[in-house]
Amino acid sequence: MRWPAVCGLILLCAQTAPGFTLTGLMAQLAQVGAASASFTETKSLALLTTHLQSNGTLDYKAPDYVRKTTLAPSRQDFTLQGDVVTLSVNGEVKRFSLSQAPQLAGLVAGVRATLAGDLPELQRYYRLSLSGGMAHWQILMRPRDAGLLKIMAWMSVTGTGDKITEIDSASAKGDETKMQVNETVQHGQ
Amino acid sequence: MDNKLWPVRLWLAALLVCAGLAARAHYRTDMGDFLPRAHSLGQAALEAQVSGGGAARLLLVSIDGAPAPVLEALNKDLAGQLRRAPEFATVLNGDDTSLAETQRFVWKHRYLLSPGTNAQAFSAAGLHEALENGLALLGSDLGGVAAQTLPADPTGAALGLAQNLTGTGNGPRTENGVWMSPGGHATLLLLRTQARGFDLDAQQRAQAVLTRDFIAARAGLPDAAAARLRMTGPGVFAVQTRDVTKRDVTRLSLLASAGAVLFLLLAYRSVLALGLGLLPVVSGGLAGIAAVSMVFGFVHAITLGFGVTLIGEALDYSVYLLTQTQQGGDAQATMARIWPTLRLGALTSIAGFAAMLDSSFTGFAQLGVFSMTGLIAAAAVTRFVLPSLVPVGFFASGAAGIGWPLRWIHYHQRSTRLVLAGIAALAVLALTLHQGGFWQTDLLSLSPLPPATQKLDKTLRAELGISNPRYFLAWRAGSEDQALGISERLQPVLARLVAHGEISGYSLPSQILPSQAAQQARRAALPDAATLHARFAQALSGLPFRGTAFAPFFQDVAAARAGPLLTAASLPPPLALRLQSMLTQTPRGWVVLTPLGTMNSAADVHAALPQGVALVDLTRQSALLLDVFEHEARALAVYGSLAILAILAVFLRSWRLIARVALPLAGSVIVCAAALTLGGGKLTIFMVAGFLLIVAVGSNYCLFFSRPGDDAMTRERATASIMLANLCTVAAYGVLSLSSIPVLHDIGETVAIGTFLCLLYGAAFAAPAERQDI
Repeated sequence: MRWPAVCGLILLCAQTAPGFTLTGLMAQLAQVGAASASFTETKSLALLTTHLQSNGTLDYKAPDYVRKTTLAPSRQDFTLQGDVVTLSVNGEVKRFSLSQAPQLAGLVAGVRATLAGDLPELQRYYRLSLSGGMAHWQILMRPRDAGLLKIMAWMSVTGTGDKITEIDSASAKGDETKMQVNETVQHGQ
Repeated sequence: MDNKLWPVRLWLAALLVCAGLAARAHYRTDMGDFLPRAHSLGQAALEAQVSGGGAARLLLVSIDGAPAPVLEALNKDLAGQLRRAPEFATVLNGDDTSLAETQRFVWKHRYLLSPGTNAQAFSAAGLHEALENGLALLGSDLGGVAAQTLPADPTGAALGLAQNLTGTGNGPRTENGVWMSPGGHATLLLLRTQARGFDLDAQQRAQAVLTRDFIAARAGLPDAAAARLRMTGPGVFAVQTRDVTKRDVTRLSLLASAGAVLFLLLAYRSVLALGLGLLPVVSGGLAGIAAVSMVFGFVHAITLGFGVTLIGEALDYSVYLLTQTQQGGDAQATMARIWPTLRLGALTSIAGFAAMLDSSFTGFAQLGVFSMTGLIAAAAVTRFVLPSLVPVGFFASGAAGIGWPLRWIHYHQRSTRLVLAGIAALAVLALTLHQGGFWQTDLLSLSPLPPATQKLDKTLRAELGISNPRYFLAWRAGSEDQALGISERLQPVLARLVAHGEISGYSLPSQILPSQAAQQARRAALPDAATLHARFAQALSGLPFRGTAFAPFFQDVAAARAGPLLTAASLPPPLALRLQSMLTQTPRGWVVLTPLGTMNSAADVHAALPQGVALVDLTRQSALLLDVFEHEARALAVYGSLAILAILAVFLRSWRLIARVALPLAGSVIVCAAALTLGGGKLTIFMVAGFLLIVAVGSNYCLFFSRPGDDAMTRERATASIMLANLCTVAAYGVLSLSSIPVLHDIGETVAIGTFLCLLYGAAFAAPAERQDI
């Protein structure tokens, strides 16, 4: 085992509360049957001199339905149900299958698998590290797929208990997205 | 002596000539050559596609029978091997790398490929509008992806192309880099052979390489032993058809001949006589091949296989001669006596088969020529050659008692007549009550492929997203580039139809490869570096973009301005495959056939199309073909029967005699048809040809049965000869009915049943009452 890896491991263990594991957290999250939230999103892109801001709502229904509705600055609907993505912008509807867009699949699978508490699915796409405790946790995800890595260098999901509070991501080029989430959850399927 | 031998010498000479012609004839196996000649543009396009198009090179592969991870590994190993094999031009398996080549190509040549490359798009205002759209896209949920491409492609040239060219459409889903079937039980590959679809030997080699590499890949993986490879596609079908045909024709014909030979040996008790008995049919076959080859320029394999069954009647000729020669008799004298009957029998058959000459199915016209020539030659050999070759003193010593069942029928003529008439009446009833049409309307049922193979092909096509669209657009052009030009002029028309909801979608060759003129215009629309920089700076005003980020855009536009135009040779294999599937080079120029989506009204779409572009409705085309088929089947039956009746009328000149011959034949065909369609069965055109054959063969029986003025001894030999002839026929055709090839099966079944019925009906109705004689 090489040094940096060992260092990382030790650091990670130090930051995680005793007895708090990914498996445990995921089991907690898997209890959530449905959730809805409002969000505000800020994008800072290398390409732009200003930030892009938007807000809207998020809906989740176990096991595999996620919808992101952007209300401002303009209306957009992004729905993921099973394998099918439906994107509706200004009344123009695009529909495609996740299996045809493996990189996008990784992107949305990260969020959905976290919501669903589906650890194997999450690990399929990402290398994971957990920090914090049940009251305040953060999962850092680094894509395994080289194609996905081009779009997104890392993503982190922050939460308290079984609620997600923030989803951040960044590209290798320095584009950053911060999404603040205010979530209410319902338990049971 | 010389005088007696000249027919033999002439025959030998003719035989040599025919054998020479047969040896040098072109034999074809293409089903397209058997079907009606193409008249319309649509038919021509379809035919061109079938015989030489890119679609004919496709090989659809499925691997199942192992756990998903094993299947995925197998798929990857196999694809890797096949990509190195020279037999395959394209190997697609859902692997990102196989898609990456296309993506790279589209990205690199986006300005030449995109219809959006024009002066307006590269004006300051056009660029400003594009950047505004880009900004909106960055804010959207696909912003992450857009941020990657925008610096190099602010005009979104690649964006419009991506969906059309690199998308797999409704293709299979990808799992861990390989295609999986919807149920996840099989992994899929799509191959294109280097060889043309109708080069069957090369197709067979490619399939062997595929099988070999699969077995090697399977051996190299744990837990893969139970994995199974299945393939379909036009090439696989063609090779299978050829193999099944070869196997059935050789094996079953041998078996069928063996049955006939056994009966003949029992009756003749002489190998020499057996050999002599085969001379007419062999001579007839050779003459038939020679004639077809001379008239049509080629001989279809079906003509060969089927034609030999049609002239099987010629075997009966020698049976009549050899069996009816009595002990101490002379073959020459027998021939002189039976020739009028034999001649009339042969004439009726020839008249019946003449109905096939006019068929628009090339294959049937060939069969007509083959069987008529064959029978004329066989009858001539029987008449002029055979008697002089029969050894003096020969008689069929084993045939004496063979006719007893027929004598029994004669003896109980009244009761057998009643029973047989009753059966015929029931048959008529069954036919009138028959539900759902008599004709087999599924052309696939004529294909020699087993239904399981056809079903596998359907499944794999659906799973791989290779649709079988119903509508096509077709047009002709003098050159490939001209074809692409027409395609470009069609695009706005089709786009308008899509916008109005008239059609659901379209696919055009110019979307894959624009015409040289269009590419030139697009290249010319790209501004030089200084102009582009100036306009872009202007376009950026008022937008929050960092101008320095767009360096890749300026580089790519400069590269496209300096780059060469694209040709078919520059396309990556998947796109070349798609282009080939739409464009076919024929001896008379290029034919384009492009799929069209579903539509509201074919008439409206047709009205919107420019002159020279045809809307092809595949369903209607097949329906038209079926109409022709049905019409021909009926005509064959009606004209054939009329011709036979006319010949009988001319020669027999007695209503009583005509009725004696014709009524048993009618009864036999009716009962046979009822038996074949019992329980909702359908008649195929091969069965109709079989009916003609029943009449051709059966008319001989009836003519011999009804011969007036023969003494009891002669009649007994005649009865024995008919019985022997029928035994051989039923044995031979009965064996053919075991074939999996519809042609052979249908004809075998029909003729075996029908001629046996002719024997019964002929004995009961054609022969004059025997009681008075006793």
